[in-house]
Amino acid sequence: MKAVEIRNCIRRLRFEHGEMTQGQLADAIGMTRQTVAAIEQGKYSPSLEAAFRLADAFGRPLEEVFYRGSN
Amino acid sequence: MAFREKSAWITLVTTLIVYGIYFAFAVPRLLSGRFDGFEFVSWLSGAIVAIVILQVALTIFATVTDPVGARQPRDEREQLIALRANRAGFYALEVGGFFAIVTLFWWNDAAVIANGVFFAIVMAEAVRAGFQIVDYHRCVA
Repeated sequence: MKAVEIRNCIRRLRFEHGEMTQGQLADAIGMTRQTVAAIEQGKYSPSLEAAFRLADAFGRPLEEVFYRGSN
Repeated sequence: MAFREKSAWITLVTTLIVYGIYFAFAVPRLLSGRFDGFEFVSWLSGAIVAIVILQVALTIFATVTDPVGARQPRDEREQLIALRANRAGFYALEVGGFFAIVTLFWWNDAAVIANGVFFAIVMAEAVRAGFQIVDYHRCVA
């Protein structure tokens, strides 16, 4: 089965939200700073629950934070 | 660097150094038949004490330099990395244990087999730590 490429705009959203640091975002969603960095760089795909926590941290729907790579 | 990656580095480096020294002592003596039980127990005990002291001291240093990271529970990515590393270590243990048993055909010596099994355990621990370090830097799906 072909893998689905998932991208995100977490870095842009962090800057739009008062230049939030990775550490601040990590504290908000209960993860380590390194994991937030890995998600931003596309090195790690978070679980659905973690993805929703990320979206909630920015007050955006999930599809505005994560999107398919072909988009 | 994540606190748990630091822990993995501590495990890997201390394991390679301490047990590297132990096996550098033990292997020539075992293979040449110059095996002394008391000397073996002394060296093995010393190696275990040394690695415990080193790992505790280095972990305390890592905790002092990163108290926040040390207190944080593992998040989902770190749990996944740990599970993958444990699986790799288990496979290494299986392979090492098999080869330890195979030494029966050449030496038929309990001390050789015991050290072979111990080497398999040490190798599994090094593989587990190594996989953790690699996974902290690569794409973990």
